[in-house]
Amino acid sequence: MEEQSDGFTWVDWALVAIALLLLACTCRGSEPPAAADVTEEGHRETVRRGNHREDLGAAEEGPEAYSIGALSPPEDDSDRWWICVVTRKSDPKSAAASAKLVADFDSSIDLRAWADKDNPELSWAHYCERDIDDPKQADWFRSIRSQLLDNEFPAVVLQPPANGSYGKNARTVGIIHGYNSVPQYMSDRIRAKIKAYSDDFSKRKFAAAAKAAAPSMGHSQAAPVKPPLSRHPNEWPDVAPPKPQALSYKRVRELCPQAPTAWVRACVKDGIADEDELAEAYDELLEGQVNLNHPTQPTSSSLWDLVLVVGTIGCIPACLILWYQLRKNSSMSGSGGNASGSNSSEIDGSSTSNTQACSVPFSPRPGGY
Amino acid sequence: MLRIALTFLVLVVGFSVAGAGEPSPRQGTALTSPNPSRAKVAVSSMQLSLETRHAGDNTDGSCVQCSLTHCGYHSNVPAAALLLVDSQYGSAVRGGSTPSRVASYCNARHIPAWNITGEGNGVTTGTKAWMRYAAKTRRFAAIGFTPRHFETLWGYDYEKQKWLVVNNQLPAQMRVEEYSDEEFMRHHLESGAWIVVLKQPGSENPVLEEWWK
Repeated sequence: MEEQSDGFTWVDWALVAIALLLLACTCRGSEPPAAADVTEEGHRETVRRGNHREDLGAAEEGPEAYSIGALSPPEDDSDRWWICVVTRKSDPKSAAASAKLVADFDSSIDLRAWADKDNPELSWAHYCERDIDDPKQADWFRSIRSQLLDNEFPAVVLQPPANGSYGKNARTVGIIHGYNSVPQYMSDRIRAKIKAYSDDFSKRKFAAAAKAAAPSMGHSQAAPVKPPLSRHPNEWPDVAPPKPQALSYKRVRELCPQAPTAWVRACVKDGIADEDELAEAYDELLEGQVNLNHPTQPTSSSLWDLVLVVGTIGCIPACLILWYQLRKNSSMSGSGGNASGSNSSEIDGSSTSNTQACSVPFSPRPGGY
Repeated sequence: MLRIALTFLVLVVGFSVAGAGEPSPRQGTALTSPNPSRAKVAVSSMQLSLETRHAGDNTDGSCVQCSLTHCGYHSNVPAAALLLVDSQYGSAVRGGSTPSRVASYCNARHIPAWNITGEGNGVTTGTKAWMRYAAKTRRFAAIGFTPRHFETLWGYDYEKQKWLVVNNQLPAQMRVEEYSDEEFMRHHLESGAWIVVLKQPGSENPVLEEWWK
């Protein structure tokens, strides 16, 4: 390249280009001049206001909009559960059901008991409504979008509290798809979902605490985890619980040590799976409603009844016979009264003495049955 | 001679660029992960993606509205999320704000919020008490941070005991920055003790997890 006039060579032009490039980078790299994000007037107003709390959004602008409430924050509500009604406005089929559900959360006590939109400070749970087609909520729906789109709308998504008292807030406790316009039904489903989750969580927590407290010495029995609710259509989770297993002979014997073998075998054969039910049957057994002894050996109470019945029935013919004998003796004057005496003694022995009738083998066994 | 002058110019400009590229005087360090939800610590924070955060880019000194935009997205309050654009809730609200201006447009748009000023006693009253409340209850806030500027209170890291803040100015690229309590309060008070908290909280993004196993 030929030298330019004024001594400019290609090296000079290269240096100019580099200088200009660096200038451009400098301008891009630095922070823009301080914009008036918070104006000077804003700063002064902040100073003038001092310690001040203002509740916004509840009323139109005016004196009523400025309420000087307490300076402290409200009560910590991070222990509230979360209920989110998800709608799909682009789906005309679900529009009516979605509108009904939202309206019922306003009007029905069955649903307001869970979330009170008009009185958030009294509401049991945080309530929100989200539309799955709203691009502003794309982040929130990211993980559950496919689950929601594969099922009916509206959907109710349940999450545990933010304070971690029931695990991570991000965890989905349950999703209820569709709405049959019966608020009580929805309330029952919400209750069932939350209860199943909280029962499971409490058991795990208790088991973990017990395991941490007790040193491990060989076998460590894992706490039984209750499966979720029985299969229910149009919900998540929708896992069917395993069939309950009947109690084994060994287990029944452990729980009912005084029960006879035949009774235990009968319980196992019947397939009793519920230990509470077994305990009830065992209690009835112990109360004597079932004859524990050998079938040929009656209990004391039944023996006593038998004695009374026999004695009562036996009295009638005994009285007749006595009367006949007395008449016969009186007519025969002096013939054998021994037979009557012996008979009467037998009769007396069997009819008059209540305690003597309970002699062995009918006497009550010491200590009960 | 000209060549010498040009060389000198290049050197001067080069040093200027090096100087401008230094970190800002603030002590904050950006988290390596742009998405705090991937952190393995006990953190209470927003979970907006980077793309969503850029909906609140500050191009004209509208930092208060930019921060409230983040809060609106997090809590699903559309009237707050759409402050920077024309919408059915009103015209775009641009430019610097004062507590009265915030009160005015929040009341006009029926955005339930608290407008808090003052340091209070720092424990039960004042902006610090409210910021602790906002972080714990997942409301978060638009907060004064560094002189004449507002940023988004992104969350609080309970394990590290650090405040998490997102700066809506462009060079910061919406990174989540963490500050110790002392640094955080110093930068907050530089702007004046003023924050805006939306009343509606927002849950974490739900995930499907087989909790029964």
